[in-house]
Amino acid sequence: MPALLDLQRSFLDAIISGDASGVAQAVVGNGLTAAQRIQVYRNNTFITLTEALAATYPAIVRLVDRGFFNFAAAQFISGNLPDRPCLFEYGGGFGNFLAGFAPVADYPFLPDVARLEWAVNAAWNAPTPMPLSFEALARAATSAGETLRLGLDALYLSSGWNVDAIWQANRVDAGSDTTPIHQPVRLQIRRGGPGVVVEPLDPATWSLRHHLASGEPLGRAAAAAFAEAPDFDLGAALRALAAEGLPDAILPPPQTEDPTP
Amino acid sequence: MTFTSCPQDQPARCGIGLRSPHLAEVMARRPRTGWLEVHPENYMGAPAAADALERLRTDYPLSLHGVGLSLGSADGIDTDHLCHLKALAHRLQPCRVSEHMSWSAHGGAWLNDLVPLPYTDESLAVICRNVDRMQTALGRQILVENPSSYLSYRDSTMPEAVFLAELVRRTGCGILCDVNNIFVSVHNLGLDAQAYLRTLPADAVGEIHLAGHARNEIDGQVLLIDDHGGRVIDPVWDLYRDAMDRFGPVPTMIEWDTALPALDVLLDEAALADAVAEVRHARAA
Repeated sequence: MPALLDLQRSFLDAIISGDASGVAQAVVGNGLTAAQRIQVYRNNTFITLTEALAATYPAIVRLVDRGFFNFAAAQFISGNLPDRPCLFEYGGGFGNFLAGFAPVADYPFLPDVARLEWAVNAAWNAPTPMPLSFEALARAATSAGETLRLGLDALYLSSGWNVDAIWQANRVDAGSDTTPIHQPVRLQIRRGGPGVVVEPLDPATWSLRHHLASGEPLGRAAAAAFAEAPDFDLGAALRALAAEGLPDAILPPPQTEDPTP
Repeated sequence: MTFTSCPQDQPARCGIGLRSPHLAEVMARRPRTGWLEVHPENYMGAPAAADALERLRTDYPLSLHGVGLSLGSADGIDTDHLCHLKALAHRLQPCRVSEHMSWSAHGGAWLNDLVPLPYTDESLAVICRNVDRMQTALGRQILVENPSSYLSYRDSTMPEAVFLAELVRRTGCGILCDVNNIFVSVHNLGLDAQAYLRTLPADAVGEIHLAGHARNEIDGQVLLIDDHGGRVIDPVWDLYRDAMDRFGPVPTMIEWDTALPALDVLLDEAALADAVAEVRHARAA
């Protein structure tokens, strides 16, 4: 008999591919074919994972309609089974998948709407932050200066489309329409109040926060902000950051590059 | 290692599976029910959900019924997930923790389903190792639930109930006897429900699940699908009566996952289970 490890590998392959030939000989038919019995597990997997994706991406469901969503989800699931057991963690790659999914090529704003929905999901499910005190932040800024690296309790997304308006209009029960417009947006996504707040930021503020949230040191993040707006007020921006309670960790200093011999 | 086997605060009454759409209503109404059971996987993200559960915990015995650990995986259970479960159990102090006698994961990929094992010595060694690990990590006895099955394997060398009894004997775990799952598997695989109940060690059964299921016709043959999408049907109530006769008073739970009805429908179903159990135990007394 195949060892259990081999059986589980073959079974998983059959669920993904829909081709049960690699595992059918291990299964008792008992009035049905082995493939028909294995198909029940494939159906369960695809139906429940499609439901999970629809729960995370309600705006995409509304934008493309449920029938097409199910079709797209099935293609996605075939190549992307969950890599964690919790369903709220499933489907982070759906935006990138849509970007390469030919049937929606005429809807170029869809991938970014999906990325925004994923960010909303991730913000909602993030652990409770512990904002740094002004004092701790000031001490760290004084000692580390431009090399200061901070964890921020928010996610940052930019798009060439008005995805925040599209998302708002297509949230469950929102029931309105918004025309997709080619219009750059810089968004901060953060849990707040009873839900998640999606807030547009000016390009320089967004740039500072986005670079910090990506783990870059303050010096580089500030340079990115000044590139957007030469009159950027860094002091005011840092005070705003602290006032909003965004910094929730002081990260280790960046690795210094090896000196060239 | 020996673990405490009988939590004092899980009454031998019927509780309900608490699902997210009912959370706010249960928080507001605090309806009368024996106890609450949740899937811990749904409380490992959004802190608001776990905070709400922590508040409910003061009014209801709470059971954590895991669906993500994949105790039957030959390549072992996921350490991160076990750590998250341990942290949640530490926070919520559940009266029970349970999981399934099945597998869902291989090589870091999860099927969002509970697939039966071939019932062999090798599978038994695998699941015993994983149950040992789970019990050791949590520092408590767990209950393991019999799966609903749509297939069996040619290489199985023992009946499912014998396999489960042996798992109990080797690990000291208890049994979560899902009566609907027995009904579904018995129909789908041509087994004997009474023999199944007789084979389970009665003193190891710590909890019973009841649920509805769907009928799916394939090439003229009916396959029962354990969708937890309806009321408990009469033949399953009959099997529940048989289980009561065999196991005595056991905490019971109504599971409803798809086509979730109003909370009152679940509470009504739980009251029915209490009534069935009461009649049965009065007769036995």
